[in-house]
Amino acid sequence: MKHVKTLTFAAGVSALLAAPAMAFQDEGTVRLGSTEPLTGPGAVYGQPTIIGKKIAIEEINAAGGIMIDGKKVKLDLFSEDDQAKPDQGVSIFRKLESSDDVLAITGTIYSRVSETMWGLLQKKLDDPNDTGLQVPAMSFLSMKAGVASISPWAFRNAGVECDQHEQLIDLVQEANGGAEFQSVVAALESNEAHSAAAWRVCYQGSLKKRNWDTKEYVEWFEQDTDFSVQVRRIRRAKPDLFILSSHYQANVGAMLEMARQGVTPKYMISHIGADAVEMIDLGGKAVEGVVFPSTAFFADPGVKSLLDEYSKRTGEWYMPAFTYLAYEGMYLMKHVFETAGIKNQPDTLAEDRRKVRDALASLKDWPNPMGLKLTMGATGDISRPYVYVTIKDGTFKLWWHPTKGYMNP
Amino acid sequence: MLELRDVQVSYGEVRALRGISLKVEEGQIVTLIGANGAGKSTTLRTISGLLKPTSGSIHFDGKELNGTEPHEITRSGLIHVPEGRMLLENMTVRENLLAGAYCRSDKDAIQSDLGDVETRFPILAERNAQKARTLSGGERQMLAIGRALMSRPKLLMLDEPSLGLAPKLVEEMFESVSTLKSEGTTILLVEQNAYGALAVADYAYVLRVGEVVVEKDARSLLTDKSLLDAYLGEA
Amino acid sequence: MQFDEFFFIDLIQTGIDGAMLGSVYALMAIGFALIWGLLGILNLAHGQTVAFGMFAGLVSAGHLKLPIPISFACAVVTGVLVALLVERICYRPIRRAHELVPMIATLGFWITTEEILQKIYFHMYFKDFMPFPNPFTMTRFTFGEFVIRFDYVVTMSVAVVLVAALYFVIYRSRLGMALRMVAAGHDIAHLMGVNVLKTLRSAFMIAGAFGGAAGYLLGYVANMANPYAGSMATVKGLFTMILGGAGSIPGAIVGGIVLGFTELESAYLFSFAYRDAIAMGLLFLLLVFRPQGLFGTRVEDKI
Repeated sequence: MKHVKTLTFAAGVSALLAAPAMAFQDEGTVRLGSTEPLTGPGAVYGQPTIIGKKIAIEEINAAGGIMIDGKKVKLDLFSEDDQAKPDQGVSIFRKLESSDDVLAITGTIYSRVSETMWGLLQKKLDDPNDTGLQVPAMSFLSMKAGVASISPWAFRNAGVECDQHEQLIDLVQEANGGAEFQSVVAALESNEAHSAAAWRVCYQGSLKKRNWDTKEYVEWFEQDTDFSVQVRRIRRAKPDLFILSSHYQANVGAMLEMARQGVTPKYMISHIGADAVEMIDLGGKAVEGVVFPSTAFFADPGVKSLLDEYSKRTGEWYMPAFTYLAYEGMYLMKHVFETAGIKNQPDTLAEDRRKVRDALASLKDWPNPMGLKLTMGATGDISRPYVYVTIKDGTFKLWWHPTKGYMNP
Repeated sequence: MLELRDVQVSYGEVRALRGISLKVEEGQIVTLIGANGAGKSTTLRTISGLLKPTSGSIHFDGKELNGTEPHEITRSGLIHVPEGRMLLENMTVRENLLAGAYCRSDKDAIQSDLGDVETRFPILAERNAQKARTLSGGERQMLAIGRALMSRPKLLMLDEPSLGLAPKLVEEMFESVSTLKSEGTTILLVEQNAYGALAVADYAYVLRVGEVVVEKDARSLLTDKSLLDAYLGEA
Repeated sequence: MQFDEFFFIDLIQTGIDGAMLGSVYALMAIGFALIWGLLGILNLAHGQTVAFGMFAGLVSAGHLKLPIPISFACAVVTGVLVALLVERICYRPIRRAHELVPMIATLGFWITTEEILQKIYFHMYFKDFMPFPNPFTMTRFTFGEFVIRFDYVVTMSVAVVLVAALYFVIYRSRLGMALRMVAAGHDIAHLMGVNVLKTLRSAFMIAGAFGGAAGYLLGYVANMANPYAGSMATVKGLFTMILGGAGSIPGAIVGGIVLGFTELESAYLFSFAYRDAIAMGLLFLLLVFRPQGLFGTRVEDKI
């Protein structure tokens, strides 16, 4: 037994020593970094994300891998856990960049962590005075407005949040027969960064553009349990359009109180914080009718195999859109690695990283796994078509689809 | 009934007791006298288990007390009325007395003992619904002793019962101590008021800096003024 | 705030809701007050009795579908067990050390068990917010313009019964006598023949029972269980205890109701966003003029 242990140890040591020489193309792998919150409170988002990444990588490698420089190599994910903490994200980012020598770094879910990590990156391309890190970085969520503009090396595939809200407000007005809303009421989860930014940057802009005033505006905190005061104010305003800039925990509490007080706005819209199975689990009937934007509807035929695999691994019947975004992100990386003309050698790492960045920045009409064509925008955000989802009869249903129009009004 | 053999106690580096040996026979009043800081209160706190001796042994009622928890020592009938009386300030006089009987379960006897204590100290009966913190110095002392009696002590250890009392009350207090003795309670009395204590005691130990410097029959010590002055200074 | 025809109705309604909400805060604060009053230790792990009580309620009522009274009892028992663990790990072995040492130990217990609980939720449910069964969530009583939630009435009633039971124990039982003696001072309690260590263990158990009950009721009124409830309970519970007077049980009860009332009324009258800041500011003002809190008096007057 001891003998075996020694052997394993020796093998480990020699593998370690041999690693630099055998790495990359000759080793038959291409290295990709990943950081997500895998433990701690952020794990509820991080785990569905890493599962999406892993399913894609397993599919890619099972199909032979990635064609680089005329040879198929396997995608090797260097996965780290940032626990949704900015400082931890920063040290992971440095480690992935300098000691793991990954070609690109994917992650993370939380805007405030991505923002901090990406603060390490070069601000201006080809600026010799800028000593920032030069490694392509891509998050599959980080919805806060403007995060990808931090650096030319930073990208996102989740779309542009303000575009979603802008389109959704147009759609509800169209559904309302084009008539003006008599009473617009908004609620903000004021101590949560993403919700606060969505309210200030997106919703307020959309309201201003239309010269709409909110008849009532209330705030609550993410961890609140009593919403009676806010909902009374909402009730007095008799809203026909109710805007939620808040995540599911608070949404559910507020909407249950709305049901208790008999408040039934004609239209209720939310940001992607409502994209969680907990809305239905916790809110039941009270959350029915809310509409929110999504990048991938979980029951779309294009993501069926992903949903099945996800359900098998988690026991969940519902898959949030960001699992799909992570899955799509891995295929996007594969596409970029295959088309950027990289060599995948230790000594070509710097130029390879630059090639990957350039390929990401110039991405045009790439057909994603759902068959939609994606193009990278100037801010580092992929512009993409959105679907709008509602909750009805105890499940999520499409409310509006780019090609099918209104579905469950 | 109580015997200490070469008991030593340290507070960290400081040796508070440097080997105390003393004996209390049943039915006696034994007094520990000495100047401030001589180790009198420390001796009592050690006997009642609040302090752990670093060496030496304590025997009470035929049992060795080393390592016994303080509440078990109390339950064995060795009752300590600490200096400053330590009343339960926010409880009523009646509750304080009943607290003294906390370890007993004989309800009828407790009631009759309560009657006895209130006969002995009628002021306690008068004030039975008042909070202890509202009592005067003399009343506090009566309550402390009354409370101790409620636990039916085999041996009663009184720490400075005359402290802070008016001269007339001091006299009354020493009288009550003799009365207790005549009723059969064994008493270990710690006092700075050496003359008062020696007048009621059978046997006396004089402590200085954590050591017994003299032990003697109380009556003969009382007459040996030069010896007393030598060890007690101003006393 | 809008000064319109609904102003007074909403003002009163908000006060009613606030007092009801405050009864849960009171239950959370009692555990802190007991331990502070008896030991002078800030038991930062106490919130975990709330979190684990909530979890026990979730498993027993949500998962095993046990009747409400039985699952409530499960929550209480779980709170007691967690409190015993705290006593065993964070108090008993290090009780002779400086009082900061047990406090740091309870801080460690809080952080560690919150992480463990989060992992348990994740392992069992793959999520951290779970529906907590409350069949009466939509039931409400209407009195003219005013509305009272049935689940709040239940919560308040349970709180009243538990507090009454606590008072009975403190003033009418042998354990209560021992607790009051320990509160007066450990030395004097020893000299009165009280087994101080055992009494303190009972105090931890009582505190845990209140924590577990609060955890169940918190999940019940919010319709939601989550592993972070302990942190919330620790913050609100400590706040309530200091408001009421450190270590005072009547203070914890009145402090809880005052806190719930102040939170909701300041949200209604002034600002939602600065609700906690306003409540904190009021507390600060109160402590400037009454440093001992609403009910705090001298050290011995703890329970």
